Amino acid sequence: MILSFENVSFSYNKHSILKNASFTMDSNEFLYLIGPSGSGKTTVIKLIYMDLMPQSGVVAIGEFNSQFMKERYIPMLRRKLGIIFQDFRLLTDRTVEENLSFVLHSINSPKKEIKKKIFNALSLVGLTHKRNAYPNELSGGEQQRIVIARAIINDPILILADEPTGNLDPDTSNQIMEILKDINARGTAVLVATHNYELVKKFPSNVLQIKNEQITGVKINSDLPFQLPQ
Amino acid sequence: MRLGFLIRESLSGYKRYKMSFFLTVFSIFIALSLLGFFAYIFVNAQLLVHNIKNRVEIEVFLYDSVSEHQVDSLLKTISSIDRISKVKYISKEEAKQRFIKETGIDFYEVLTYNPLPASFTIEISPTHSNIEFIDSLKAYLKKTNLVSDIIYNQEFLDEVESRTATFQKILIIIFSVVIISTILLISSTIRLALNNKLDVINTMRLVGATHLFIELPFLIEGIIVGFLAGLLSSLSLYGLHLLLKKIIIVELLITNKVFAYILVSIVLLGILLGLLGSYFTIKKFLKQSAFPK
Repeated sequence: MILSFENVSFSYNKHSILKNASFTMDSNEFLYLIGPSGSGKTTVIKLIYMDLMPQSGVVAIGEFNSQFMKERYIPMLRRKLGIIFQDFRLLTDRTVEENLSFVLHSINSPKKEIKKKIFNALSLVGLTHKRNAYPNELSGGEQQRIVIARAIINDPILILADEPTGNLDPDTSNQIMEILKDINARGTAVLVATHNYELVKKFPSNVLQIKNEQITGVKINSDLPFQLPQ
Repeated sequence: MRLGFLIRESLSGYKRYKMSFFLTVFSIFIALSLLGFFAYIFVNAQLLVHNIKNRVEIEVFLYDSVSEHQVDSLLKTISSIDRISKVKYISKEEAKQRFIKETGIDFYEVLTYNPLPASFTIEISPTHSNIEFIDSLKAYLKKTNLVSDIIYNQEFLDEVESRTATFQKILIIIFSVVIISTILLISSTIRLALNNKLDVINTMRLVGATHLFIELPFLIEGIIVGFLAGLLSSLSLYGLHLLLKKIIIVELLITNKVFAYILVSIVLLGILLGLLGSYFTIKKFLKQSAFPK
């Protein structure tokens, strides 16, 4: 098990998002977190990378546990995660290669490994030829692939993708999902928060749903205990 | 820790955000120049007051009946007072010579005796030329019964005293206002500069850079900005000093050594303010992260 929520409650300004919510995730699992906009998917993601802390209950990721977490350990946790956002968040004034090397420099990666890691990450997303391009010279799909390369560059144990296809057309979305599936097939756990239920149908996997402050889930290939909206 | 990366990131402020970088340098430059200018005025004013006070002399006239022995003893007593920088005894004969020299009148043509009394001229060290001290000295001398009269320019000294005090108060208020404004200005300009780098900071936070690692490039940049602003302020004050020396008839009292101290202090103050401004702003910014306390 790589991730667990145990009776987690969280509210923003008295507006309850989660109430005693629990779920677990295995170390090589591909898991969807679905729910309509505003249901709390991003809150769950933030609780995982500990940008938010639960008001009660426990969030545990690998050896990190929210109960015993200190602020100074958070960077160590985040080095084990790869985070992907809908709006890419690349540094627009740096090339693709500089965006990736920036991550490795920031976490003090050994200098001799940087070039190799960048090449491996770009190979995985099929964009080695774009390493000298600036983000605004890339299409939305290419930018998101660079973001994925950035997320996997430090060999994370878990990829968190918050609406990774939100800004992309259906074909490009499919490509992104295929890359995420490929990463998962290589042994990295992937959690995709989405409200794009078509993707869930097209790339079936285990699903968690946020509804009424609770997280309920189902394993792959079994009938969903809830109806996906059309 | 990778020094090259940190320095490159610090300098990237210049490369990537030219406008905000120059605005920051410029605003700190203006504030430091104001501070430097007031310090310059303040030091010159202090030296002027010091010089005026230095010229305060008290003349103590003695009775004719005072013996040589009493004069020696009084001279010793007065000289031993720390606050008194110089005492000079003028005998009746010296007083006569001086009078004849100054006026060209020889009173022996009409008088058969020397009417001028012997006296002491007392100079008080400038730090102590205040009314209270002179009053206490006067009281002491009167008590000896050897002194017929004590003369000094009381009104002038009173005037200098009161104007100096007012001037110092005004300068201290202006200085404090400028210092506080400088800190606020630096803080807000650095906050603006930081806003331009939100994406860089957020990326660093998300990929697991430590707080210190995130802070260091900004601290180094703060030092660079403060240094440049301080250097520019020092150069402009130096230019102003040269200009004043040329166009002002009144002699500037500030010495080269003191002026050099002011110039170096401005650069150091620039570095300190740049560093502190960056430190508090980036600390506050990072504290705004959602991690609960």
